[in-house]
Amino acid sequence: MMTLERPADGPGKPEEEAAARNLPILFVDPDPPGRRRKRYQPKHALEQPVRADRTTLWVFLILFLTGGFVAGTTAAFSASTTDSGNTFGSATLSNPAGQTIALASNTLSLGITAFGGFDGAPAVTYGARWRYMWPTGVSTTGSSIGCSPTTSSYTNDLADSATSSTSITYTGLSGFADGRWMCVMAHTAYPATKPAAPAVQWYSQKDNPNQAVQLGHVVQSVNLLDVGGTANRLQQNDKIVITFNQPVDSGSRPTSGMVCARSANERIYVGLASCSSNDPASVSAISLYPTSGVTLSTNGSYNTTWAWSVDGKTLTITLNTNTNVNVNGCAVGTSCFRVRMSKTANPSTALESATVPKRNLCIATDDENFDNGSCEPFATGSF
Amino acid sequence: VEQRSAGGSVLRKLLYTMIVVSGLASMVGAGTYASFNAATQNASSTFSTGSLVLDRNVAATTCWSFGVAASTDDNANSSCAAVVDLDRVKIGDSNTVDIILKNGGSLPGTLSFGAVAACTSSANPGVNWTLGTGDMCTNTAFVLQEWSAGFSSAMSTCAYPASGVSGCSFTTPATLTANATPPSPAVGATPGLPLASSPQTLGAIAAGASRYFRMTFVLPTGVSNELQGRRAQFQLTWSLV
Repeated sequence: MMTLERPADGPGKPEEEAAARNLPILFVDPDPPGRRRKRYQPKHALEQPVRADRTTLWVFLILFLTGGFVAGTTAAFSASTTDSGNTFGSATLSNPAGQTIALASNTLSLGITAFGGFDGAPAVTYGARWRYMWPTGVSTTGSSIGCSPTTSSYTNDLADSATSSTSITYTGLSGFADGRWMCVMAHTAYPATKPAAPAVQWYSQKDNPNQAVQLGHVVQSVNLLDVGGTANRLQQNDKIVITFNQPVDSGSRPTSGMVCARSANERIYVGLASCSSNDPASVSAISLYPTSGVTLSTNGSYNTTWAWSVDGKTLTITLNTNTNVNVNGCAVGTSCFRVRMSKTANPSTALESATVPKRNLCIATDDENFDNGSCEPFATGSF
Repeated sequence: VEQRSAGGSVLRKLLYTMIVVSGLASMVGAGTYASFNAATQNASSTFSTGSLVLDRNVAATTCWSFGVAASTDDNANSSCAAVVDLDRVKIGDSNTVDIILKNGGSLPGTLSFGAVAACTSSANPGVNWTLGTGDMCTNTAFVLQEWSAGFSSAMSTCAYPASGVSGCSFTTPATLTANATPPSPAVGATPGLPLASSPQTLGAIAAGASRYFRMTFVLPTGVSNELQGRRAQFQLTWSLV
């Protein structure tokens, strides 16, 4: 083995010489010492680094930077599925139909004829709820109060039922007074049975039926009918129609009595045994007294016929004689009389409610009543 | 001359620094490249990648992460069918959805889920009337329970929200309200729906394996009438990384 060097002036090539001497070639210097290339030297102090330095710099710079790219690419493997949108929506409960309210003594019977379902679907086994409110207006003639159709206006719970009907005692309600009108709204309730807290029921919130009811046992309205022929004159065949808000007990319904017009004290007494009584008010349960500016022309006595409706709520009294008492100062079609109720001496239980516990007829001077007037409606119509 | 010397020194320093850093970087990558052996000669060398593919199966319908293109170039499919689509829910109603998540790729990964954006509450247009103003997102409860294969038995722990009881409990469910402190709410706070930007991890899944989840939505029995005629809308993302 030898290291060959290209002779400075020799004729043969080192490779050939080695081959001739059967020696391995370890290195061939392409640039013999005598012909070695000179390393480039900067000619000026501020000259840029040599090309070889910059090349090395670029190689390491590329390696340095691409190393980071490789790592980022590896981390990006992922897979995902996203849905186009989920909806979890709630239904709405529809209103019930056919609200019914019946008053009997101290009890209100509440009912509906059909439950509402969820968004038109038929109701299966749902419940009902009733709430109430006191309307601000007062009916002076016995006509029904207009109730609010707005569900949120009914803030007082009245009753709940897992069926379509129930009944409650109303006399203990806050704000109750004989003769006061109450507005009741029926709701469909779900689930049917009211659960224990914190669970709650859902109620129908729109188009719920509402209805007004006058509480207590009262004369709800009086209507005067001019059948005799001359306006504002008490004549034969003229009628006094008295309507009670609940049936009158059949055992306490008066079936006869005279109608007595007294000009001296401007009263028309109904149901006296005789018009000669010195104090007809003490025995008359019902009287009509004229409103301001209305007077009676003279006294008059009338035999009458009394007729009760089958349900015991309407009493019609027909004048059978003709004494021609004129009602002065009354414009036809206006309310010229107001009803005044009083207890009768005999029997004291006259005009009680039919249902047990029998409830006395509301008398403004004796009983609590709302606005001091709901027990004394103005009469409609005229003689 | 002084300036040149200073410039050259800086350059040399930079060069040496990069040499050192590159050398260290190559050592860090040694784990990756150590198996390459220069002592043997390969007939041909292959550097191939694995894949992550997520199959989401709901109601016997599979939605693949690669969508209809059958390519993982875009491996985020945002057109899958809804998990839940209900608009006649009554108070106290519950609805369950069975979800099978399969790693259809060749690499193991980690599952997670979250909502694309915060749930929105609005009037439900599909009902008779819309008077309510309640927040359906806040009041809708949900849990995510993992089951064994074929939904034969529930796992002992609740996938979401985590609870100390066995399995998921509607005593402490999550709501659809976005989590304020993702991915998990503060201790004592009602957990919400995690957002996909900070998803809730569901753990590892091997290549080719499936996992079974049952998502249950409930309109609780205590929600007020203000929740009638309302709806919650939200998008769920199931991810495999």
